[in-house]
Amino acid sequence: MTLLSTARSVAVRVRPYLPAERVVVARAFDCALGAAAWFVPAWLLTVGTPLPVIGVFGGLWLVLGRPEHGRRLLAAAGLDATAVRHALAVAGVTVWTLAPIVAPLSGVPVWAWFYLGVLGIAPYGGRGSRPDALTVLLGSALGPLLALVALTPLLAAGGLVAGLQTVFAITAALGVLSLSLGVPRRPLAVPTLSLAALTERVERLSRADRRLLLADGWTRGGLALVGPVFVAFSIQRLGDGMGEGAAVVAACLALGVVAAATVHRLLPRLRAASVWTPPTLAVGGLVVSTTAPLAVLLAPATPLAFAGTFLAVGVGQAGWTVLADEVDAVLGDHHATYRAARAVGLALAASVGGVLFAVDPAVAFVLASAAGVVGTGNYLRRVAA
Amino acid sequence: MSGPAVEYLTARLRGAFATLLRALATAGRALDPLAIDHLTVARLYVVFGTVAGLWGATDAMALRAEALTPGPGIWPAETYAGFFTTHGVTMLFFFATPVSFGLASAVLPRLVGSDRMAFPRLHALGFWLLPPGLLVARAPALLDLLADVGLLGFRVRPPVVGWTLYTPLSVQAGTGVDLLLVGLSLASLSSILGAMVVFVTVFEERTVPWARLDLFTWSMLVASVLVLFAFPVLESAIVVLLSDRMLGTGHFAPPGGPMAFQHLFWFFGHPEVYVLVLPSMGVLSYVMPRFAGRRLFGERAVVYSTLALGVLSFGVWGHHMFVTGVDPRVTASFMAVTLAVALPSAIKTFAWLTTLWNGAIRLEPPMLFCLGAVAWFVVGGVTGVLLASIPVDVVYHGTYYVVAHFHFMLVGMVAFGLFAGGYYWFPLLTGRKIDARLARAHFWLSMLGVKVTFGALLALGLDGLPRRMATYPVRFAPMQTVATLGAFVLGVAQLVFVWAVVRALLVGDPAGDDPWDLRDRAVEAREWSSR
Repeated sequence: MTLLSTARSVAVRVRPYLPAERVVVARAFDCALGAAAWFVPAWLLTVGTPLPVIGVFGGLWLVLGRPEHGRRLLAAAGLDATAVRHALAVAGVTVWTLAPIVAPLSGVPVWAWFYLGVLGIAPYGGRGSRPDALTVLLGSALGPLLALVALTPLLAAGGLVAGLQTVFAITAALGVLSLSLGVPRRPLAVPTLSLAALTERVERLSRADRRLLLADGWTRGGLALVGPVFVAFSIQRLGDGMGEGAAVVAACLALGVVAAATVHRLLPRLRAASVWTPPTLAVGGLVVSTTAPLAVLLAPATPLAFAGTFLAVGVGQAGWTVLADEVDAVLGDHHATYRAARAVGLALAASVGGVLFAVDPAVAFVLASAAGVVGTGNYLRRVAA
Repeated sequence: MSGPAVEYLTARLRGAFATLLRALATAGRALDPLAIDHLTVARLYVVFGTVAGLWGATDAMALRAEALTPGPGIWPAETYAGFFTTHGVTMLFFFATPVSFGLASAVLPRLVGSDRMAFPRLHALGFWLLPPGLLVARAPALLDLLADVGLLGFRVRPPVVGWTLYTPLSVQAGTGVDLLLVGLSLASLSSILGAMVVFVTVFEERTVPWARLDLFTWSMLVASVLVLFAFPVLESAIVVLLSDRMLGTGHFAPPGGPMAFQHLFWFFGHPEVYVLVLPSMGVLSYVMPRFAGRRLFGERAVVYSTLALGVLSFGVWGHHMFVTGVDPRVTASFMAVTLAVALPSAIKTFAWLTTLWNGAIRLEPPMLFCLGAVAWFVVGGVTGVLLASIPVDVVYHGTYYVVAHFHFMLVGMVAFGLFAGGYYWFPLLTGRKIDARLARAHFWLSMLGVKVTFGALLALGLDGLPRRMATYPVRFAPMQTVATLGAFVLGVAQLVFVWAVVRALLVGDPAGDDPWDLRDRAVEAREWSSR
């Protein structure tokens, strides 16, 4: 029993530093949901959902995923208790699991069930459940990374449809487990918004600061055009059917997560290195946002090329953080209102992106890059000024 | 790389290697293959059974993942068939039986007033036959996987014959079946040795008079008699089947051979069900009164019902063969005996429920699992009574209805009963208390999982969906999805159990000498008082 005694003594020593099992399980649920969420538009595309509907779906998620909208909605409906939010997210992912089955029986199209599910999932606010998870997970990439790594063989074995449905089912089970263990309390912070105050603040901004907002709006708008279909289009390019590329894209996303996490670990040191480092990082991030859509469109359809693209996107996340910090600094207390307003704009961009993608993927991706160029130009003019 | 960096890395690697060697050495000492005291062997049985159970559960998860979509999904059809074969074999032979005998090994000496199990060396040998048995039985799937990833130059196809090994399929199937049969043979030999030890312990080591013998010991005694009569038949059938496969004999060749095999197999197979269920029934009869604050209602009737189940279990094997063309006069008698099984079962259920009546019930984890087991036993029993009727069986034979029925029994009753016993005797096995909060989460999630999964399978069976098919018509998809969701919930519930056990072993509070506060409740608990 020496082994057990040794293990016991180690366990007693490390116990104070370990998170409780309910925290671990809740985090596992978040990460599984976040990993699955990347592939939802691709899944919808595979089962024949019209592209504009996918665009609107992405837009809806962008809006509801923002605490300024989703949480306010929950609070208004009296559903703001942590356990209720969690239960709604579990119900949402259960609806997603059942959607392909219920749709033919009910006569309601499958995408409508996904819309219903996202109403529960998007406002949940789990760290891994947002569509822009890469920017959120920076400090702790292990969970999302593990989730994506676990997802890869399932997608490889079952293809996108069966593989992802299995992931939904596992995620729902994890959610039920998390509920049964007790959900860690996350206080619901509902930001106060005032559009009039934001307008007043923006009017008083210098020309250079306005250029910053323009840069932010253009580049994020460009990305939002193709954001919901970015993964779907990558999968489409990598394989003849939607199943073959899914596992490769999952692996590429995992690579992107590692890159993002690594760069963010270095970010404080990079920022302190020189006065020119932050703007250089921001420009780097914007350049990535400009070139990534083009890269997905034009790069050879090989796993290596796509891995490079996702790696660059991961590294570029550092630039986005710098940019977001600059915007917050410029707007002061009004940044929540700005983000809320921006989310509505981005939702519109995502919806338009769906239509453009339906016309021709090249149109959507080239326009996304063009918007990125305009945004980068504005930022460079600000820096030059 | 600079010199200091190389030195640093070398030193770290050397340190890691030394740590690994030390860990291996201590693990070797802790396992102690030569230990023959009953508690160490009991721990080995229970740990092995739990590991095998988790391995078998992954098969179930793989099966349910495939059934999520109507068409070909995650696995090819052959792999699916391999999974349900290894799932059945692993759960029946390497999970449920070893855990039952493990619990018995831990407590039986104390319950019969002895300080050891009879034939300690045979007892230990009985355990040590199991690990090679499991590895050999599951080797084909492992070898197939190694071949898939290019680490093996040859391929051994996993057995795709189901746990029932029906001929002529099992005679014609690939070499994986040979390994499966050898593994089963080892497991069956292990069960025979374990049963011998239990039987002799109760008869020869007992100092407690028969009239005061507890219900768990009675159940284990009857189960061991069933093993001693049934498993040699399986062993013989395996040897003859191996002879047909390897020496070219034709004992199980058509036209009469397949029927002969089925008779032999089910003469073992149905008593095997009672070998599994009787220990759990014994746990319920033993544990429930301790958390109801009163003696078991109708103790004597429960003992007689246990004996009756043991006897009747050898007269019902034909109900598995109602659709094979056996003479109707014979099948009618099997139907009658099968229906008669409901009587002792009902006596037990009545006794458990009346024990609760006006009791001072404490909903501790063992009691929760007992209550869950009674609930699922009723569901499994009622669905079983319907199957006992020939006209109903003819309709539902080979459908998911049968799968749901026996899973309500084997998961709902057997596994829940073993969990009840496992939680109740956990302090005895480990000296630690288990976290009641985690145990409760384990219970409620398991209840939900069993209800949703096997309820959905029952509905699928009533709708006529055949079992053991990797693909199915689209109209069955909704219930299949519900079943898969339930199965995954059941799966994560077992992870909670594993975590609860690991946590208790590492940082659990010491159990003390009265871990369930029984001393002041006037309930006899011999295993604690003799610690």
